[in-house]
Amino acid sequence: MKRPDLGRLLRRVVGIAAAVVVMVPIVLLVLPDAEAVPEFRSAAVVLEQEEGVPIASEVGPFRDLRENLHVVSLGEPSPHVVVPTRMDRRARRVYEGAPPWIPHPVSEELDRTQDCAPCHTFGGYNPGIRTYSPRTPHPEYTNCLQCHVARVAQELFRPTDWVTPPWPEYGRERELLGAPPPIPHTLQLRERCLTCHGGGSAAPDIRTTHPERFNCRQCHLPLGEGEEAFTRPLNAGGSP
Amino acid sequence: MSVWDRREFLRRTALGSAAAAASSLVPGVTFGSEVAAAQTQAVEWRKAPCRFCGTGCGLLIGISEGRAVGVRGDPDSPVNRGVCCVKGYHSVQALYGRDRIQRAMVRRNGRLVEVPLEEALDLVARRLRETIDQHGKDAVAMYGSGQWTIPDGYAAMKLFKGGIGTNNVEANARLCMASAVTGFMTSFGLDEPMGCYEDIDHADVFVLWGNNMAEMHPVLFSRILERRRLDPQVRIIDLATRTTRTSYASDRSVLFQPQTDLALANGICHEIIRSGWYDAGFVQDHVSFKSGRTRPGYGLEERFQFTDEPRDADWEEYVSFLEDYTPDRVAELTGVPADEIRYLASLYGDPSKKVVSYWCMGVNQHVRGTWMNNLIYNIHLLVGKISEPGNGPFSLTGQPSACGTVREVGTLTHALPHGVVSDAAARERAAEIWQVPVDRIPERPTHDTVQMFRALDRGDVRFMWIQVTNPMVSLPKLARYREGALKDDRFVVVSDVYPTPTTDVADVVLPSAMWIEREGMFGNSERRTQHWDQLLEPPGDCVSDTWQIIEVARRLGFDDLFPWRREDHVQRIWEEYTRFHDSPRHRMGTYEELRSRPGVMWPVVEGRETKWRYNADYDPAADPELGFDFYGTPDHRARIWLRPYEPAAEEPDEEFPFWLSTGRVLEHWHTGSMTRRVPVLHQAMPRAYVEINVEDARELNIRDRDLVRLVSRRGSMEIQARVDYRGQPAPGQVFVPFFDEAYLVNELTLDAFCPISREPDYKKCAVRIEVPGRTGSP
Repeated sequence: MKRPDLGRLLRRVVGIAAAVVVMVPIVLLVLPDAEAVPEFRSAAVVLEQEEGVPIASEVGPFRDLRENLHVVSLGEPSPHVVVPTRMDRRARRVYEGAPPWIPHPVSEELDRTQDCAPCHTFGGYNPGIRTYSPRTPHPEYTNCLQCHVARVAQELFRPTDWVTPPWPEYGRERELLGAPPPIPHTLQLRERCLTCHGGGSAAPDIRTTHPERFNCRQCHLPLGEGEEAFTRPLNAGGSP
Repeated sequence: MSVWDRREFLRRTALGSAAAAASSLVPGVTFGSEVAAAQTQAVEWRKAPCRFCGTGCGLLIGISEGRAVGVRGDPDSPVNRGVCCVKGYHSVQALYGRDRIQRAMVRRNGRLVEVPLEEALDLVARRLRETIDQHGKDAVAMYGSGQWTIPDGYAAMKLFKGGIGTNNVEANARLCMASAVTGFMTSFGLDEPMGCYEDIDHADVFVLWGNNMAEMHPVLFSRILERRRLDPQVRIIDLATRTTRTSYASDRSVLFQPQTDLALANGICHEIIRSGWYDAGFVQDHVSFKSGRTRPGYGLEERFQFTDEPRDADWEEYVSFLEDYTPDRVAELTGVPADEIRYLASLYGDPSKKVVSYWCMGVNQHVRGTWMNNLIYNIHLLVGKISEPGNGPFSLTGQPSACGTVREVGTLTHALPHGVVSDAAARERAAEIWQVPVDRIPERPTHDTVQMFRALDRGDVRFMWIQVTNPMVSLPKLARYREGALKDDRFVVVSDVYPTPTTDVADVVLPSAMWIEREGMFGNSERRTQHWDQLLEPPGDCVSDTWQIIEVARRLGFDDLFPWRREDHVQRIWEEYTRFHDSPRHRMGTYEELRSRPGVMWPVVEGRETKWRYNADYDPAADPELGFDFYGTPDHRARIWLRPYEPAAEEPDEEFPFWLSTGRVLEHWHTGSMTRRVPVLHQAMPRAYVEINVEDARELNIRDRDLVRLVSRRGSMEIQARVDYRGQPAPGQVFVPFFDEAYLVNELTLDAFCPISREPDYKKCAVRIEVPGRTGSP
């Protein structure tokens, strides 16, 4: 068995620490200049305006109209790109499997027209909010705001005793060392794995290392939900 | 800061990423709840219908360690096929508001104080008895809603009509779908739709009459959009007074002036006949013509009475009646171009297209709501597009069991679980099943909802028990009825799950078990009854509304009417109740079928659901010789009614130049007492507002988010203006959602109602807009 590569681990730790060091000053120093942030527009419009000028190296894969994305090696995100983590994405759901709320402002026009498709049909880098728009796992549903709403207020009407239940454990930690990790979450309305696990919008900690092998569930299976282990008594069939 | 702007979004996203990255550097240390990971616990997924609207989505509720932890759409549900809306997905959070009513309360010295439940139930029973003794049995009343489960409504009916002997049972559904009931009854002789949601999979054209489905019935609207995605020839037509999300998603948006839908429907029929697009054979074989009284009034007078006098009409008379509704004349009245009217007629009239019409409150909450229901049926009957897959008129409901409880159990003053109180045979059948003397059930109805609250104000009703609804937000012309409820010598009992403006007027508050904290059944818009088991223990002293009624009934000495044990009373009630509907026209699923399936659509004949009634190809109760058999009427024919356009009860004038319409928004359901306690929903839609047309706003010098004052002849309120917002009213109109108890728009609305259905018109009254701080009205 291959020994853990300590040098690689160290580089990774240093890389994450560097990301923290880079991100916090960006947040605290750069962002307060609201004028520097371009008006929020649909990514499709922005990309068209800047045809030929690569905004980020990751734009390419998302302009591929084919069903299965060609996901190139992404490398480390550019310092100016905000890539939400798995935990960020969790924080947008009330419980595992709940529809995430919309983390960006929704204009009055967008609220009426629900024209979310330009950014979310294929996803892609959105310079307006300096992040990647995730690709919807269910483009066939177009009454988007039926399930996804933007939060315009932070206060509650009344306090709540709701407790968000623990999320399923990270799949890798569950099974045999070296085995393909099982899928720890529900799949309903999330059948397209590359929405969350591939491309620039994927949280780095759950981004697949092998997007080209798009038949994901060949190796990764959903965890059961409390089913008992199969057992069979020796004489279950009765005597002949 | 109350609003997340773009900068805050970026800041939080980056900070969240940084926190999560930091957490990976220091194992074992968490950085806030967002990065907490924990062991997965076993979650059991159990079925229940959604708590909110009348669509009746099937949910799977995740239960873990005695708490609800999540929701999935039930993939096996034929209603929603695994998808919900944002309210459904977060519905379980409504169970956990910290201010849940967990103890009984009694008002002492003006304040509600907690008392043991038994003491409160004793007091309710004693005051009921005293009021009956002093003022007669018609001085006590029960007011429920379409949120009642079927056992709740049945227990209320049995206590009040079978036990006490008064017809004083009403429900919020009167404010919501009474016009649909009277529409069905007058056109077909039987209530509830002939078709089902499966029509969506077969239709080519969807005509939405005053129905913002994208927000109010979003799951069904998504099914329509899916249908159009699969067949791009499909067309969605939005007929409305206001531009909404539905308009934007539709292929055609047609705006008409308020109240003129009556003329529009007649105009479509005029054009269908003029163009020869009607189905002469269908009309000849299956339709008869009726006309009724015109100018029936608006119900504004105290002790209003009206009885329609139907008389036979014929084809010639109908054609002559429609001569008033030429496209040009209708265009003048409605504001809809004549070509558009011809186009609508051509959609209905094209024999190659299957057409479904949907409507809800726009048609029902209408001073001519019954007529408007009749007129939509007229169109479908004229072209023979009814009772078959993809063809049919379909009345949607707003409450989860408006059909199942209020319409089928009959929790309205004139009704019984089967038939009406004025029908001797129906009374005899009820008396037989309830095992009470037949003369205990009075043959005369008492008060419809609005008039019941007028009676409370006058003092004709002295005791009112309100369960599972919030009339002190939802009644029109609210101030009068609130003052009435607060009068001395009025005793108001409220059973609810949260404090509301209605518990503010209560003398006793009873703590109710909510939804999945008790066993129950709801019946949705497509005749589908859905059962759920008790999945959670209710908090504190909370008990179901059914059991509250049974406890009070036993204290009144009606033990023999309610002999059931707590463990199986829901099953016993179901078995007794379904005896009322034991015929091929309405037979319901068995208790066991309901428990094992995601809903059962009645009539159930030999174990099979009936998807399309009145069509012998699908409905075993229909006569195969007739093909289409409208067996609810004596002549087995459906009715085409001659119903004219008449103006609204109050229309804009110089002093009050704007139409006021009220309604809902996607995020909140009804008066918001549950959905506002769901954090995501409240944060997405925290307060009410008034939508003003952009041209009107410019003329009045009102900017988006300015504070304005709305004034009607009944009241006034200050509220934030939204210009060019989610909905866009036509010029001369404003819209206010009614979910927010801080902005009681019903202080402004008018309590005019449809004289036949007695359902108020919440969509039309006159207001003016003032800008606080400016002299004079603009």
